[in-house]
Amino acid sequence: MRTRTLLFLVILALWSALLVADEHSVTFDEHTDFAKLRTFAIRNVKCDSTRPELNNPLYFKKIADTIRTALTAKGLKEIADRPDLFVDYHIYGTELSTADQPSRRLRGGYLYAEGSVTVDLVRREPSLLVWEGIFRDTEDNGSKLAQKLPKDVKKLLAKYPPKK
Amino acid sequence: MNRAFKISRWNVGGTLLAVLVLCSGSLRADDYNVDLDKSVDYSKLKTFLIRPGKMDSGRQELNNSLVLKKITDSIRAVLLSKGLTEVTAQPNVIVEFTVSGADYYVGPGGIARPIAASLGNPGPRGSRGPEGSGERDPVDFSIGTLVIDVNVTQPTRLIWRGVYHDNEDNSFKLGQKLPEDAKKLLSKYPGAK
Repeated sequence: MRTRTLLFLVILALWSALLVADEHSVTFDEHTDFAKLRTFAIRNVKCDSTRPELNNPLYFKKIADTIRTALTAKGLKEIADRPDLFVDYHIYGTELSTADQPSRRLRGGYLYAEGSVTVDLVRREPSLLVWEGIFRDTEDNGSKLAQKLPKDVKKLLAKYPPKK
Repeated sequence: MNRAFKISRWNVGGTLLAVLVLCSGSLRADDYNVDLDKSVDYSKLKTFLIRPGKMDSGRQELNNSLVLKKITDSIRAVLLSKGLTEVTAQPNVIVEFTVSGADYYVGPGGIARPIAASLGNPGPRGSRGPEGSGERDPVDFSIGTLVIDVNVTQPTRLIWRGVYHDNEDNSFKLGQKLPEDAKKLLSKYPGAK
């Protein structure tokens, strides 16, 4: 019985480390009345990654489409001219050794992928960052990371507009 | 008592099996990702041209025209099987591919680090230290990355990208696996038919 409990705890430890590995944060300007910001335009994308599944125009478009869908669902309208908000986003991804993550190491792989996506909402007038969401994600490999980041963007933007 | 012992052994065995199954998920597995432009009507793109592939590896077993030719043949075979026609001029889509290979050494503490491939030094050995220093580390595994791009012309625009990461014991095996990887990737291409 003790052995069974011990093995169960080992499994739990292996997987709990993975489950808590992702993290995100949202910060915003408390003086901004977000209800008054009704229009947006997607402006800049920056990618700091040499991974081909992340650094390509198709992937940038995928992330942009996710942002577009999320903001539109919140009642905002995308316009090209004089929007209330500009949306900038930043993608990062790299490969790391599992030596610094014992739970991943135990699962047998030597490498894992770490990445992040940052979504900035910048007020046009005055030009001011009013909302920023950052999602840091770790996955077994770069392909899984590429598939997860759009979902992470969705989770981030679910927290917009912020509750004061 | 004896029955209880048997049940306990079964439970332990089952749990161990579960651990093994869970652990095997990330055990040196290949992975791939495909992205495409959903606004494109792929069925209208019926002709293709394959540009010469590019290889970014210092390994002779990868960086040679035979491997590139085999990958090209795989790409051609899949696209032809999907009903596309190969042309030499004015294709609907241009297919480009690049391959890069990296060898890894797993050092003390399980730290995996890439090792620079030593040019002109065949065999499953890597190098460490300054180039020409003669220091050697064994290659514990090699990862090859195959990127296949499909572009429309006039203007040139990427409409499909497949990326395949292949994890093998060494570059020799990588060279043998890459043509198969190209087939697997392009089987996801939604074109023609």
